[in-house]
Amino acid sequence: MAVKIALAGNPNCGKTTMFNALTGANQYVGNWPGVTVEKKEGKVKSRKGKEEVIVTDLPGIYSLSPYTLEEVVSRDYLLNEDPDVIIDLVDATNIERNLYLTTQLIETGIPVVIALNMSDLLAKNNIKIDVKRLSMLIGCPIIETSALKGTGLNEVIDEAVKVAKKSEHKLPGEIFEEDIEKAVSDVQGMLPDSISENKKRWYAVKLLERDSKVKENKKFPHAVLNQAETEAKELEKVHDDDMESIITDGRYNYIQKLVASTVKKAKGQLTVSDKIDRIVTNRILGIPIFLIVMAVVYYISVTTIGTIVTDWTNDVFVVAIQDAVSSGLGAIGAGDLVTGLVVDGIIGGVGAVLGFVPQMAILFLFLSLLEDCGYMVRIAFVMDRIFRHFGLSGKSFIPLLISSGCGIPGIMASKTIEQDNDRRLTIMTATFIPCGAKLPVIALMGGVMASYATGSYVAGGFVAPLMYFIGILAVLVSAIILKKTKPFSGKPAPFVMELPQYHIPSAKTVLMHVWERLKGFIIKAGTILFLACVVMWFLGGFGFADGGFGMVEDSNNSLLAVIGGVIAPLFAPLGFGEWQPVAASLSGFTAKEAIVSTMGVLANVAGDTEDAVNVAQGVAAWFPTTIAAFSFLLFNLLDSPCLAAIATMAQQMQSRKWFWFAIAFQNIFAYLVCLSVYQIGSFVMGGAFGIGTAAGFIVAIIFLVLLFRPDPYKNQKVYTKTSVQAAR
Amino acid sequence: MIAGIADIIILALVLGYCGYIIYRKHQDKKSGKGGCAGCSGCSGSCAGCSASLYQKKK
Amino acid sequence: MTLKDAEVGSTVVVTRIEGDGAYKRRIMDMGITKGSEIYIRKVAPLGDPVEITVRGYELSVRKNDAECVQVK
Repeated sequence: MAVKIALAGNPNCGKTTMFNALTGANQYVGNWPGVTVEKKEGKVKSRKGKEEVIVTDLPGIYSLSPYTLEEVVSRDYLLNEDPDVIIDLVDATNIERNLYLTTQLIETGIPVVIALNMSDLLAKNNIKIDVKRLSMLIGCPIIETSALKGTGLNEVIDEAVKVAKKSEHKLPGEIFEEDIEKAVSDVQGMLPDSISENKKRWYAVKLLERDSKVKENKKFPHAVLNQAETEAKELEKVHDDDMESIITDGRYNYIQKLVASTVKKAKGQLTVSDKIDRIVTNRILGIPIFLIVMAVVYYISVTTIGTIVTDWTNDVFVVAIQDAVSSGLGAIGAGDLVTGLVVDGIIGGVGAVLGFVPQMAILFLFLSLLEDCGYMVRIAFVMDRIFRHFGLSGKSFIPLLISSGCGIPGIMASKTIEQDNDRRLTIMTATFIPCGAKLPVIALMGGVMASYATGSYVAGGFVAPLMYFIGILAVLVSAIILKKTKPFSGKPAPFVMELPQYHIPSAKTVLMHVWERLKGFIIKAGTILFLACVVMWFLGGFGFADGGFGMVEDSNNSLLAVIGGVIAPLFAPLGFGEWQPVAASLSGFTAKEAIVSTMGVLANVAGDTEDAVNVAQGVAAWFPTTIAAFSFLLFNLLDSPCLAAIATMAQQMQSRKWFWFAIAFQNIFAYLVCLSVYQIGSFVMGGAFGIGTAAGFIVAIIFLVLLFRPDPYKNQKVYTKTSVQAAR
Repeated sequence: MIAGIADIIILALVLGYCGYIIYRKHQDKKSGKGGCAGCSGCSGSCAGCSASLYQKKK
Repeated sequence: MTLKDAEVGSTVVVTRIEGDGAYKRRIMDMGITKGSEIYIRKVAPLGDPVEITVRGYELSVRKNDAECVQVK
């Protein structure tokens, strides 16, 4: 029979690293039933000849209170699924707060093995722990581990298995002061025998705390409830505090005693992290530093080495391949149709995107570095005040940071936001931040814009950081406007966040992250984009002409042109009313890179099939002015994301109504913004004043009004409902 | 237009590959790739998922 | 006074925590309880939030929310 282990611990203590190290690829990732909290389970690898061990990774939690989804999901699992043993990951450098959870885990009656993680950092931070003594006092075996270095993992599993196999387990011990313990045992004594002996303490404590979830889920006899209430009231009177506080205090008092006799800390030294933070989160320097960092990241990604390799790839490499394949196919007797499909459609399209791999690689490298070293979290701290002005909490900023890599994990990260309205707002606006897939579009259009302005493609590098900041601006603008409406109003969530130590990310981890993302991108190019290109080539190269259906010489007669032509006029006020850009935008729903690959296909198809075409030049033909190109770029950054991300939005919104509202909002917002940008921009650049311009100004004024009108919900003190209260 | 054997072979290869891709996508949806759905950010394995870094930071 | 009014660089002791329910619980779960020592480490660029050290680690708390924590 397999041994079932629950892996528990605070956020940030290395749990995920440990889980991955233990299970490797043998893990299954899903959701806890009925909620959007992720559930990870896996088989421990490398246990030849030993018992099978299955580990369930519980969400990172600080406590087992009934207030957040993660905590509720964890406690339900522990009490109802009966794991054989709990491995509690304790961060050795933050031991008091980690042990706070430990006391609650022990209370569930399931045997606990403590993995003292990050023990390698103890010496660095001048902390000494008497592990033997601590283990004896707390009543659990303690194994020192370092998930990052991979030490202690086998030992902790072996110990856990050993504990699990014991036929008898100690009951959870007493930790509170006498009067509280008396109340606990009184209530415990009255609990019915339907509750197993080892769980009785848990329920007794929870009843004293008047835990709402426990009362909801189990029926207790009135006598028990009354006893708990009486005892609670008495304690509250004596301690002059509410029961939850009394219990929490009690836990910390116990832990303080434990730590006092077993942990020796050198006092008052600034750690390296602190020294860095003094500059990076400095009152005056913090935000400028952030702006500079992100600008540098995006600029370097898109220019310098990135551009050189990309240009070479697009202009030389892909073209050379096209020529070679073209002659090759001709030599084996392939016809025009098939040659066109392969050379123009597939190579032209996919090649256009693959050319951007170097730039994406550099961007991913930077982002990974920033994330892994711990800087990104500081940003949330720095941005919190700004965000609060706009009605969001710093917690909403983290999904936005993640979205700069890929919007899907960004949207999923919003589930840590407890307020429903803030969470919805974050889900809706997370994809305004340009994701990795949008980078080729930015680079391409940036190059087009730059070629108009300066005659060369190089200066396009500034466009990338610009779009990133525009994305953030779009989020803030949306937040301001929506927060002034009833469904989104309400105070931003309280912001209590932990700042972990900086650490130099291991080169291995960073490179692995980068490789994972690159691999994903290349696979995507070879599958989804491949498909999209074939489809687009067909639609763009075939149509009804001269009374029949077949390949068309002029792509303007193609099926795609006809379909696109129907919708295209809608976008004329935005500056790109041709069917090609519209078709490209539509293809963006499969994947944002497809915008580039579709344009690649269409540029090749439109061009002379004898000489392969430089994509950027071909594309420029569809955008008569710089501002038109910019408007097109902006539209594709702000409109709805790729289908995969849309599906994630639907999953996280958990409500059809809100999902469709989000989709409508994104697209209408994108449309209106681009309308006024293009119209006003063209006018400013010397165009004539027409109906379009007037419309552009009107839209702009409406935006300004919505932005600056007084907030009817300014003084709402009430926090809006959270889904924990709603969850059954 | 459609000339000889070469054409047919190449067409078959391309369309066959397309069909294969569609089939695989369908399979992935069914086996419940819960969480991510294949984007540039991850590659299916949540080992490289940056969201997990933030999952812990509540 | 409340945590909101405490000076940067000072060390204070918590006397009471106002408020109820989820939020108070969260504050306490993080280690800010009656009698715990808090060191006001720094204040973010725009004056808010505030970085404190409690029980040996850094915590970031909004000034407004710090109002709920009474200290001396």
